[in-house]
Amino acid sequence: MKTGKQDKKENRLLIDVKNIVKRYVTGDVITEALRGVSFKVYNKEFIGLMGPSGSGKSTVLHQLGLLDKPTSGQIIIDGVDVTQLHDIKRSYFRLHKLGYVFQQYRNLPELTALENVYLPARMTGWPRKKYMDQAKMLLEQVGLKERMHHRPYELSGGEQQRIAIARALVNKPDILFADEPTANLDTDSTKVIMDLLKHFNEEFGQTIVMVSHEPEQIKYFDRVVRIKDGLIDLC
Amino acid sequence: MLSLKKIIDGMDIAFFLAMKNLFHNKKMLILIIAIISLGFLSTTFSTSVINGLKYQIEEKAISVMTGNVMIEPKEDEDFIYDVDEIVKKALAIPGVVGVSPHINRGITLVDKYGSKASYQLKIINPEKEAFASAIDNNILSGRYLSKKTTGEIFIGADLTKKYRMQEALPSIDADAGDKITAMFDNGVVKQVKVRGIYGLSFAATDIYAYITKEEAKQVFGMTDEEMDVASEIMIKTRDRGIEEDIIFKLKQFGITGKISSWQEKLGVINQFTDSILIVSKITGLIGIIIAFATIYIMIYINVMNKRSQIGIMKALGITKETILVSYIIQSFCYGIIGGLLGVILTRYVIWHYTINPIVMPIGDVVPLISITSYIYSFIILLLSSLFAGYFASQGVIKENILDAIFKG
Repeated sequence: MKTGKQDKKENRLLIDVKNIVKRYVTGDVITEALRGVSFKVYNKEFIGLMGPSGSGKSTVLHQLGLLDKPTSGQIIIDGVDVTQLHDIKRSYFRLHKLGYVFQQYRNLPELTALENVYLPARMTGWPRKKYMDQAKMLLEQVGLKERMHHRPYELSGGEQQRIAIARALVNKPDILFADEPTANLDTDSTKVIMDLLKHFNEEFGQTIVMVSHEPEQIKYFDRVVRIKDGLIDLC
Repeated sequence: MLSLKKIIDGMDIAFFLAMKNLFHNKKMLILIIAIISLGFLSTTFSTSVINGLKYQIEEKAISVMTGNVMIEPKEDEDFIYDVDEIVKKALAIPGVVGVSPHINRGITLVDKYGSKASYQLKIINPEKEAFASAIDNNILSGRYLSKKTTGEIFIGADLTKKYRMQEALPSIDADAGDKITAMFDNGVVKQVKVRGIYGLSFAATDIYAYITKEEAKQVFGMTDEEMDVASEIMIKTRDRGIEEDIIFKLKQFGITGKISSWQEKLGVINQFTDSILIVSKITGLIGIIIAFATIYIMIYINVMNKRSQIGIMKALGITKETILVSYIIQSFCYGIIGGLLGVILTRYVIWHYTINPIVMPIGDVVPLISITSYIYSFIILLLSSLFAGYFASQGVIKENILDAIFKG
């Protein structure tokens, strides 16, 4: 984790999305979820991907997060055309470069909060002390130091989502993707999560791309990319 | 190509996830291990009982019918000659504990009600026979023969109404002490007393009648010199497994004739016991299939229940190979723990039935299993668990990440 207030005016291009199309084929029915989406994300930005339900914003995030492959188009992340990566290289790219926060927390129930957080770091082959220290530091940052040995089902929704954020950040990713991370949370927990994301963005320069459909969250974002009917909404 | 470090890191995570998964649901763990260990027990124990039964049948046949080694006349001769000399040479061979020549004849016994039973008559020296066979240790009624016994006969249980195991053969109503009519195959008919009845609870061994050489001299009018022949010579060894050495040494001593081990002599019985062993192997195979199916089903259910988590792990950057290895490790652990517990259980049950043998119609059967069989069964179980873990999980693990997360 980088430290100190970061300069937000750095203009290094981190993600270049070029005309991505995503089609789903179910029997004879072809659904075009994305119809040529292009946009750029710069280092240290906090981007909001917004749009109505079914507009394709989560689909965009899935493509950027390498959870899915676009039917056509290019996604360049930190100079690498990730659409051309093979399976195992995609795995390692996700592990080292990307962090992902899901709407429904998605922590592993058999692991404690601490284990959930250090799991990706351990996979990278860090020494035990390093991944333990990093995980504990992040749990402290998200306010769960005292609950690090609890299992997810012993924690509230907001706490579980904070574990998920810590887990997504443990490998010091270039980009953190968050797919409606507050959709299942009450107002107080939502504020905690959004403040936390903003904190990581501002304090540590963490680039974040977040899907949201809550207009009141716009204030957190540096920039909003609007998506409608599978296209960038330029209105 | 993955670097060695990445493989090691992947193995570390695979092992970590496997252990977490394994011990997260302790009830499931106990259930799976119980099923596997009981499956191991049922397979190995049934095999051990069948082995014990086979051993028991062979022991009985060896102890009355063939000995460990049997010498028979050359093909073109009716008897073995210079028997005393052969007996001396055979007894000089290390490992030989008894040598008993038999002259085989035929006899029909008639009880007081006129019922008849035909026996193969063996003319023996009872002292030598006692070292080579087990008839003197399995007396159901009366006494064993002594060297000088005359006018008396020692008979197998299976041809007496009172002691027989099966009703298929004609039998006589006689017990020890009863007078019966003996019709020898040379035409001599005389009254003899039943001195004793032996029985080993095995139809194939309990069908002989024995008289002493002293009695034979009277009945068949033979001299001592004429008695120095044999239809067969039964040789008992200290242990099983040294028969070929004994045969080799007998031949080295210049003993001619047909010399066979008990395995060669027990053709029909071997067929029977080999058939039992095939049943045992089929039982073992079924046990392995059950163990395989159990582990497969358990891992498959586990994996299906964790589809979403598998998707998440892949989304975090954990490779599918690592996740697959974690499930293989998990099922391997089921195999190891279940197998070891199975070995302990089997050892205990076999120990119990060694102290308290299983009572069967053929007699007391002690379960027998070799260390090799344990190792073989254990290795097969481990291999089954490896394959079961692989096949049960690989399909789900290959699934698309989003399908796994959102449809799992």
